[in-house]
Amino acid sequence: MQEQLPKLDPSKWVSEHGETLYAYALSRLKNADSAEDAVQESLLGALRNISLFPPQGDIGPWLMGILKKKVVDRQRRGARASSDGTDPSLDKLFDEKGNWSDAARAADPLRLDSLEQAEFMEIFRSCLKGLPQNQAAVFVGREINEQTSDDLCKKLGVSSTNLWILMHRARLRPAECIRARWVMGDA
Amino acid sequence: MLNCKDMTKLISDSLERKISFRQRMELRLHIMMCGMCRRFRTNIIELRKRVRGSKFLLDQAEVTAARMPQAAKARLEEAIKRQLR
Repeated sequence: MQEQLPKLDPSKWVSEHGETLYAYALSRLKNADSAEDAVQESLLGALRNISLFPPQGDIGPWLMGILKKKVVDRQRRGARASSDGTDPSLDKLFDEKGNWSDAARAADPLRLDSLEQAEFMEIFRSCLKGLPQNQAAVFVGREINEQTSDDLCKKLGVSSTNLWILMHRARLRPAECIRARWVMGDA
Repeated sequence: MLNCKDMTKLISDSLERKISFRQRMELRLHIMMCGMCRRFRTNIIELRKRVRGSKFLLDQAEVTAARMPQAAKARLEEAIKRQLR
């Protein structure tokens, strides 16, 4: 059926290309689950469309090309999903009138400047993982990659209004997360 | 008058875009009176500074963390096997 089967052996894709694909997906999506899902979608998609693979081609770059499209799809989908509506986990921060809740007031003030660099990085990374994918995407884009709002909106396919909403939520959350982790001293 | 939740949005926006003169005045007045919003503002500015100042470290941490977990590999292998059947 498949004459070039030795060359195109999908059962070896994970061992031969898995790491490269995964590293790329993770660097873009910043979330292990999303990265794995994107790699899986790409590999299964490649398998379904294996007849489109050019016979003289190189399988690695072909898989990477598919993955890149999947990653962008995810970033866009993620950024659009739930950019409106309320976020229950943030509502705990405020009371029904929109003022800071008693729980938020009772928390110890966060002093980022008192954290050592290594300690900060560790807490920050683990907090970032807890962000919903759409918020993580804008937060990483703006604060880590220092992209301009305009570039980021274009890339993610969201309006600037939505971008500001996502930034607001993303900022409320790591501050809380870092505070919680730091106060409990579990990092 | 904005409540604190709306105020945190305006504070966050002020790091993203130019807010109007009126908004700037309201923000200033609010954080003069409200310790929690003042704290939020200090925190997110500090967070931005710390994150941007740590970019190099973050990238490095990422390289070491970029290994695919063994369990994920097994799941992927399994998914491919299932489809090959």
